Amino acid sequence: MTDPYLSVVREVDLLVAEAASLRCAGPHFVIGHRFAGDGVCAPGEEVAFVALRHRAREIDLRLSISEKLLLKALARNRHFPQSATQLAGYMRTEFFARHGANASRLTLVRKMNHSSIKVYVQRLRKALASAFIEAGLELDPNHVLRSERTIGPIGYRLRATVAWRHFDSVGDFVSIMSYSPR
Amino acid sequence: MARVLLVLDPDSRDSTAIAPVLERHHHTPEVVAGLEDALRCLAKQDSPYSVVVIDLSRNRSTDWQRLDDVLRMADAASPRPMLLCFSNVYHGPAMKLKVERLGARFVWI
Repeated sequence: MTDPYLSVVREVDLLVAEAASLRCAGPHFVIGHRFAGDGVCAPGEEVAFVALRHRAREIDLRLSISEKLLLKALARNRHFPQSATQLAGYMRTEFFARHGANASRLTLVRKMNHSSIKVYVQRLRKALASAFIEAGLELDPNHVLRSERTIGPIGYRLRATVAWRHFDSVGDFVSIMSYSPR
Repeated sequence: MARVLLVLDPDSRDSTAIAPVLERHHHTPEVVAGLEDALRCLAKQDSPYSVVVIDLSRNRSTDWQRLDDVLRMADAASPRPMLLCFSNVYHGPAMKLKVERLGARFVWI
């Protein structure tokens, strides 16, 4: 324990573990919800930001409202691939229909169909690629936001760990929820 | 466990003991003297390293210039090795911040 080089060995072990974790579970994202009420991830909240978290750094993904909503839908359904039609259906649920309603900003509601989702998936991959470069991560966005063919149409699946952070209407932190990979 | 390229300072014998310590912890270190040799090793396509460990104890301006080259070479390698710099002399927090801004990790020993 007195060996001064143990600290270097521990850092090497940490880097190896970090690489293994990225390979197995994918990167870690934080999704921030604003205007949280009593519940969490409840209708009326706004998806304010999506950030890549790597080594105590948070790198905001440059996304439009629609892209943020789609990433949230993918994060929520990331245990199995979702077709564009399934995602479009999920995005008609109450959370999306009342997106940002707690702030009386109904202009934040976005509607998507299956063909627009395919376009947004490509844009999401570009935003992911840019964030990975900024973080110095050697990750292929096509492996993080995967296209998987099952029996029917192509399904999209986010291979990542995700935490949701909630803020109230004045921007105070409310809660954090983490979902680990299955 | 991991193949490690250990870049030691050719003017310093202080840190040569690090290689056996890495071996004892099941890593496979390959020791080179100086960043010039490290660049040559990284240029080889058939030698992927998981981690590159660099001795920055001397904190010379030439080391920082060479470190930039090593980072560029590491970025081009696939799979990209991760970088860890260490120093056995405390040069203040600015050094750690500088290394971390380059996307590498840093540890004082």
